[in-house]
Amino acid sequence: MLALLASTGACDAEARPPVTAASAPAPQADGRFAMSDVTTPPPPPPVRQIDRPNDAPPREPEKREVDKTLEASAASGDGAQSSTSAPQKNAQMLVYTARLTMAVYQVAPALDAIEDVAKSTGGYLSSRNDAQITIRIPRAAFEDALKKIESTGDVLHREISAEDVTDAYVDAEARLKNARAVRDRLQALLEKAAVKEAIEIQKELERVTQEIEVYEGKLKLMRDRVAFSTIVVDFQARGDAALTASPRLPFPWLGELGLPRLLDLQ
Amino acid sequence: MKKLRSAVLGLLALSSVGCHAFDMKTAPGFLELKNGSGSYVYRATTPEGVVVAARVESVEGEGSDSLAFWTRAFTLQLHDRDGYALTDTRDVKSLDGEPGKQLRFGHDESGKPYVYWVTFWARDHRVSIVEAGGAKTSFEAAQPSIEWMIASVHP
Repeated sequence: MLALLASTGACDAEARPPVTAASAPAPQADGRFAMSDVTTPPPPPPVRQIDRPNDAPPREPEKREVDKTLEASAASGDGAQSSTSAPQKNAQMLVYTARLTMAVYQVAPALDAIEDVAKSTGGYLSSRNDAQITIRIPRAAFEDALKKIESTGDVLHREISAEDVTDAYVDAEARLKNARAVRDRLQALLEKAAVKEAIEIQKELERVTQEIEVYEGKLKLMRDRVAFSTIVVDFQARGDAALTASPRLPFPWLGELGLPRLLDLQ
Repeated sequence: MKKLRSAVLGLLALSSVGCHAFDMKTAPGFLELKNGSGSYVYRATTPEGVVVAARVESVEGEGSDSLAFWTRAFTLQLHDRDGYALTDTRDVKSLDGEPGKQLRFGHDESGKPYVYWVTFWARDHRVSIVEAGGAKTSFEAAQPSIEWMIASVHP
């Protein structure tokens, strides 16, 4: 029975888009593909790192057809929630992530300011602690949000990466399609099977159903990661050592200004 | 009592600059401190430790009445040298209509946010400076009173 099931999976494998030699499932000795081949996850896609010097302006990410599709999707408000949209053929799905390290005089107000940027651009707060904040921003507002964030303090380090998840998405989509086809065949077989065979088919059906749920989750996660870019900001309180030296004016009382002397009531 | 306070303030101001008397009213909720004020001609506090204090400094020389000069000097001293964050700059007027400047700063003290304002007027070769500061929450609660006190200044 399982060999029969395996052969049904093999038929679907031919309908899949081309995969690399490294990730292609190896045929068994009898020339057929095993069901377990369908579950093998593809290798992670390469991550492109874009490091720029501190004073360089933010580089405009490459505009691709998929970005426009996703921007329209994000703008219409169904970006991450939509489970119907699939990437167009030959379109690339890019996940943008920015990491900034900034020096500010007051960390808490700066954290509030970043949170406001997320809200004002249609994004949301992902996590926040005493010195770090992570926000998710609609892809279309990514550059605008970065500019606003960079104006809240001195940027010490800036790193922007674009991860191409197109291959992973297409592969997961094909595997999902195959798994659904297998499930349909199993269900058809189940209706005609004898009791002993029905138990085996039922077990296989449960496994394939779980597999489908896993792939659906992966696809949803990838769509969300593409539709909403991630910005992580680390703040460092600006210390005395970082302050600019300036010549002293001949007014000693200028040095008496400030909170310590003002608040000393003794 | 009020006359006595004005006389004391006047004497202190005159000893520092030798001309006009500096005057400022105390808002309800503040206690004016009469002794141990050091270089201040006026000082008052709330029970929560929000302090408003004034000093008058004599500065001779051409250009000493330039608000732009003192705005830059105070900013360099407090922002660039002492590390205060400049959050706002405002134009103000004294009780008799003299234009002045107000620099609003923020600063963390022992990990807690504090607010510090410097308001000043420059005329007749003297700079009248009103400082106000305190823990952010207490300061914000007392802010209307502080603004009222600053508006009552006769530099």
